[in-house]
Amino acid sequence: MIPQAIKAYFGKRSWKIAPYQKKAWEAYSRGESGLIHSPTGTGKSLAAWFGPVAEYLNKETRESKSPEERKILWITPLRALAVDTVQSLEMSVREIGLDWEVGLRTGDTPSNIKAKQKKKLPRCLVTTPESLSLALSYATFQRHFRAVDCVVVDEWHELISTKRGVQLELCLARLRKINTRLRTWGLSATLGDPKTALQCLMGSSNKGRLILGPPSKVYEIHSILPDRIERFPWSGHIGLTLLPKVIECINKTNTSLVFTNTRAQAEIWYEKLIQSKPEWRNNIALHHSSIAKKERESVEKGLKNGRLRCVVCTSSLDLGVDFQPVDQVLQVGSPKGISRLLQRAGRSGHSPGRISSIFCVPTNALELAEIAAARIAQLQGKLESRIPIQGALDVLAQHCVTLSLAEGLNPDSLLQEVKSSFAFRDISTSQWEWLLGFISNGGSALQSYPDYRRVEQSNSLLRCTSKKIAQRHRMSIGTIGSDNVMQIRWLRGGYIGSIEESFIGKLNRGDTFLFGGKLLELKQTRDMTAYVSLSKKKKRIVPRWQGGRIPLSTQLAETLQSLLAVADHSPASPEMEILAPILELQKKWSRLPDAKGLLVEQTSTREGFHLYFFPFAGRFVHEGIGNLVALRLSRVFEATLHVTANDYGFELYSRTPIDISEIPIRKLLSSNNLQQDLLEGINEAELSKRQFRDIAQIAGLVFPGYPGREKSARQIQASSELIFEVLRKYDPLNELLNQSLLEVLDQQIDKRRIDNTLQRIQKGSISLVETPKLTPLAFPLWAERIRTQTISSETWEKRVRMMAENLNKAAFLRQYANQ
Amino acid sequence: MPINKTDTLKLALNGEIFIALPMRGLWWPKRKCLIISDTHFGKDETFRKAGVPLPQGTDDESLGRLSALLDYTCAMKLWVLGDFLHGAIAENTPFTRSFKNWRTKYPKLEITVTFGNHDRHQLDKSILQDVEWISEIKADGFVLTHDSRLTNADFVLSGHVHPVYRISDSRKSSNRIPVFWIRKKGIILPAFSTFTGGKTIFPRSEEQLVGALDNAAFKL
Repeated sequence: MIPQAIKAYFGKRSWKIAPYQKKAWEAYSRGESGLIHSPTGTGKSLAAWFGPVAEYLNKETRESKSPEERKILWITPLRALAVDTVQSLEMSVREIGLDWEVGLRTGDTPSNIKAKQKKKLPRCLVTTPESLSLALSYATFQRHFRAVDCVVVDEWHELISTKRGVQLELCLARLRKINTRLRTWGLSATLGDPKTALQCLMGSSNKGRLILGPPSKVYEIHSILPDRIERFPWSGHIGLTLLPKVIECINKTNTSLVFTNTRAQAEIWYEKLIQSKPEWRNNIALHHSSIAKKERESVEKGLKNGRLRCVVCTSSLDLGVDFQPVDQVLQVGSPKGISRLLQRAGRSGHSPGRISSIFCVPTNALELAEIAAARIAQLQGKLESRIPIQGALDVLAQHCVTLSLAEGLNPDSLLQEVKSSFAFRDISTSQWEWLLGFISNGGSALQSYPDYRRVEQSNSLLRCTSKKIAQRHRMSIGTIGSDNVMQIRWLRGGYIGSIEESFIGKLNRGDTFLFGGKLLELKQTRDMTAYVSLSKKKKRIVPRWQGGRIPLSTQLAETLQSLLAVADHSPASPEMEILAPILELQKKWSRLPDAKGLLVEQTSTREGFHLYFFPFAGRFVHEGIGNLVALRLSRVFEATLHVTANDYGFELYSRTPIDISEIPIRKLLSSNNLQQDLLEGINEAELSKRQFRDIAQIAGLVFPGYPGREKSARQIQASSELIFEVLRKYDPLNELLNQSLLEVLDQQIDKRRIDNTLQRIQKGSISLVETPKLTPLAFPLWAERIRTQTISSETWEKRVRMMAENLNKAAFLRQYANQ
Repeated sequence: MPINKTDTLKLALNGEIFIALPMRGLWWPKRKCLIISDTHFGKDETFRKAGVPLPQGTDDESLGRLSALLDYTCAMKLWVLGDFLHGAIAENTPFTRSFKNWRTKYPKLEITVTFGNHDRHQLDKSILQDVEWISEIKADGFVLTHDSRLTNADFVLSGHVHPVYRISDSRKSSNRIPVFWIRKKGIILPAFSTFTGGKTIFPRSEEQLVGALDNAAFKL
């Protein structure tokens, strides 16, 4: 039964109650849990929120209020989202006529409010996974949580394949233990694999219901088409040739978002936009995750109140509920993935019924094909799936210590609880015992951890009793690694933003760099802070942030490959029409990549010998397979091979010729002995060491450095690299080292995808083509390698341009000769 | 770990002969004195006590290297230029036991430590017998102390900095090796402990670096 007040709420807005919303409310009232899977902007929040609201209203009419006030937890992945969520939840209950208090608890919440919440939990508490975890470290909160009937996990798709998701799974397991009748409801935008998302959220607690919203909205994917294209595509100017057309586009509407793939790209586009349109200076802003929060908030506000006509941004604006949809969205560079592109498209026309559209700005010619492929994939309903993380012992260690701050833990019942989460359903006895040792007496080799204490064991209960350890642990709860980030401040005071230490480390005093749209001169660095002043110098460096290199998703790469395979006789899209001459040349000199087979090109230049493989499986996979093939070749040939990868394939380059006809290529690409060969082909120790950084922080082996940290903690500061070395030398069986290796295989090398790709290759044909010159597909790989080998970007551009011209001439001559 | 003479390096510092040894030690033949710095003994213990599970092993490794250097040089004296201890130590902990045990092998060795900033955590200096603690050592016109910035002597032997030099052997990887940093007004020793980070230094043209690997000391 839908309460009148809710009907009225919808009626007032002339909205219709969607069948899936009704289904969700009914399931809630039956005591069920589940996942609401529905596209952005279709009223998911209400589908979850009015469940408990309706239950309350119905109860109120039938009987008197229950003696104890029941509570709701609302988990949101982003602090920035939390504020908006509180406002919209509060507004809706006010209007319905309930006096529910909606509270907010994040890292930014003032301490007096936090203290109040600790005394009395508000009716509904909006919080983040980290703040929830922190709350579980207090016995008081655990008591309050007995009254929690409902927990809503917003934007579950954002959390599912992250360690934050694992942390939340563990917290949910605890909440369910506190109240066995807890109802969990997840909200997810469209995902490739909603069933896994549901299972992951529910753990083993109960089955859960999957509630599907209306089919995905219609998105229109357009391209900003270049007038002419380079026959040999390369992305030297980061696509800035299209700048005038982009300006024209921005000029046509009131508000635009310009998404880029990297922060560096955002900085450059912002700078160029302002240089070409100085009169827009006050109406254009820059938004990325390194920029100070205050500044970002002011940008978000400016977007809301219409002060800004354009914001250049990165994934920092991918999320964010209900801020006024903009008129138009642009995407600079490859879309990389379908879901990602659609999410960005969804930033325009956010409300139901309005068409969302996105204009893609290709930064090189081949990206035109990616855009066309994204459009096809969307129509076919293809979406990327997210793979949940399993068995992250670092997160488990942190969580167990967190719980031990609140109460003594019985290891057996704790194991039951932990096993009820999806991430740890398969944890082995030996892993569990190691973990208990890790937090209480050191781990496997007992004798090598004398005097260690974090969690103490008495009367077979685990409990952390040291106030200092407890305090330090609470300060470092969370799973987001702070990547040795340095603050950037004005010399005269004032915070500007943050940047990776590795970037600042490469700069000298007096160097100028572009940040937040400003030219800054580095004055000095001290205490994890870089002090800067405004610079007027011309020569500057654009920071390269880590994490900017997202590979093309499997789904998009596959669609792209099948699109290219039939490019010459498929219904034309504007993108493919423009691309036609390039593909024609590709076909003439080699062949079009086949959807079922692997294309391998072989050519020689003055520099040496080149092999090009095109598996179309994304950059990371190509790096992996490239190194694998190079290693296997080096067992047969004595040659120094150089591997370069991009999203379409990889190049093997050798100064000396290699007689490839002697070698069965299929064998080089076999998936036998894969893991061993992969590890041999890379610098495993170096990668593991890097991967270990986050693990060490989450497991409490290192503490995030920040200015003004407690002095006594300095004594126990050591870099994760050092700790990694110490563990490898003196406790090589430490499970965290193993985890580090597994994460390298999983995330950095993506072994699973490599394996799938190799198996796919084995099933199909392999065609080796000897080409007269570098083909249009090979050229970007060649250019990429030259870039890593040349130092200055000027000489690189010159060289690449020259090569492109020569190839163009060759293409032209051939055409001429054929006629 | 036997040491060969060919793996050592003779240095003339301010007119006096010193020998840079492998394994991060400096030998002063005239004084029959082995000089090291920043041993940070008990560091893993400090971590463990604070609730950070780090295995034991680094201290014993340091003592092993120290023994090798003492055996090679037959030194009468050991001077440690500060940060001898990482944090406060107590009676009957693994390190104090190891140290006392090690000390019995060198009963005649005179050990002098110049205070380092980390040593201030240790209030009770009597736990480690036969170790003399002073603020600086003066010898033959040289001053030996922990932090060279705190003195304006003509030539200072000091530690504190943990200098390392970055050598890139290829595009992707680089090695950081501990170094003796020979400057105009002094020499800065590498940290003796391997469980320490280092500060990457960029020497001026008139300065010299001596790499200190376990198997050799060599000019960079």
